[in-house]
Amino acid sequence: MARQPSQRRHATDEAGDINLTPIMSILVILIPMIIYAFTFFEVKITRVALPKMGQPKQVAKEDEKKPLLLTVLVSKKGFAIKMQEEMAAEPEPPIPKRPFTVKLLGKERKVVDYDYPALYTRLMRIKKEHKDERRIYIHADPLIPWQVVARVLDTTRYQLEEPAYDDLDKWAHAPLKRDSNGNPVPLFDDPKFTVAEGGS
Amino acid sequence: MSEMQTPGHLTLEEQARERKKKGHIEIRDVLNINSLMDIMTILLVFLLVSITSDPLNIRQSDDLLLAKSTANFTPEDSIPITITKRHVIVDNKLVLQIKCKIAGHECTDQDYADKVRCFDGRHQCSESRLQQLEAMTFYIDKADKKDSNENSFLVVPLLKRLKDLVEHQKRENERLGRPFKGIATFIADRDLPYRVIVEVAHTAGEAGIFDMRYAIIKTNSRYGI
Repeated sequence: MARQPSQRRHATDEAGDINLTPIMSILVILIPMIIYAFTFFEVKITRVALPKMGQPKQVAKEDEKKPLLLTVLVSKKGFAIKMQEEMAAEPEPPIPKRPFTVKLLGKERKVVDYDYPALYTRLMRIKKEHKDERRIYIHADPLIPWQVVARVLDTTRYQLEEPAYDDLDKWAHAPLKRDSNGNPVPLFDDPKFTVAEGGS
Repeated sequence: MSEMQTPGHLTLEEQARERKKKGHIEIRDVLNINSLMDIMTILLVFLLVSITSDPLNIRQSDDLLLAKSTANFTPEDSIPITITKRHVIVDNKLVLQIKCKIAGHECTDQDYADKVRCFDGRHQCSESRLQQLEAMTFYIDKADKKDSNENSFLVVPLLKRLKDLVEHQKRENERLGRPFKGIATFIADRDLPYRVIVEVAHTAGEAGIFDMRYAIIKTNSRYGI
């Protein structure tokens, strides 16, 4: 129907915009639900070879180099390092737990924990003598928590900027040593779990 | 003076009325819902893409707190084996229970809760309670092991479930003409003992899975704090 000229001037547009309010209502409910299900941490993986039952044994052919059989033993008291007897100049002394000061929730706390910097320093010394060796065996006591084993794997994987550390905080935040291509330089990056034999 | 006077002796309201009469467009301060809609849509798409691109899709709880590490390998499509403080779950199906002992008796819900709260600073616990919680032991019941032998590393219900899954994946890959990789990702709680992890890993090896990965939470510090 035609409008009068006076009405035409004040006419409102009848084909208005879509009413977005219901869609907004759905989104306002949906987004908090998704945020609740969302993981705000970055999950990565660490690779470890299939566990081996019993002590690591490798028979080398006569013309081949004898394997190092480098093993880190994790017990409640601390770490111990073992290698093929004739390859170690002298038996490695154990690395006992020791007190550290750590910052937890903004407060400084004294904790007695595994000496990861000393383990790293010792492994770096071994690496200097056995540059091509990459395999490392991890042998933990049955009740050692997985977090401790994960930290041992972290300690053994790559070389850091310094060959030795004493302070836990400096070791924990030390940057990785990188080659000319920018790739991290491996330390003993082929770990394998071992367990004492006792049935299968 | 309640209303502001302008040099022309007209109140602001009167001025607005005048402007309207002369055909001026009135500007109202209303919230523009279109911009909000744009923000919400972008946020929704971002969240949906992030959730669907995560192959592991882990939700942490007091029963499943991952170990922290600086490892930086990206997770791949694999068989997920979740080992919480209470259960072993393979590909979203409950396979067996993890038992727990504290001071000679079975752990209660309070013990499970304290194991996390007392050590992360959320709860003040006595020294004796902390020592008790440190000695809390998680283990796989011998009834679930081969020949009901406590020393065995072979977990029978897990072996059965993994063998079924491996067979199924092999058949599926054969149909699609893809090689079977046999990868498993362990999503293990940080407090679980080495023995449980190795028992599960050994059983996975017996089922034909030879490539094992362990999920961790990426941190910048090697000590995790």
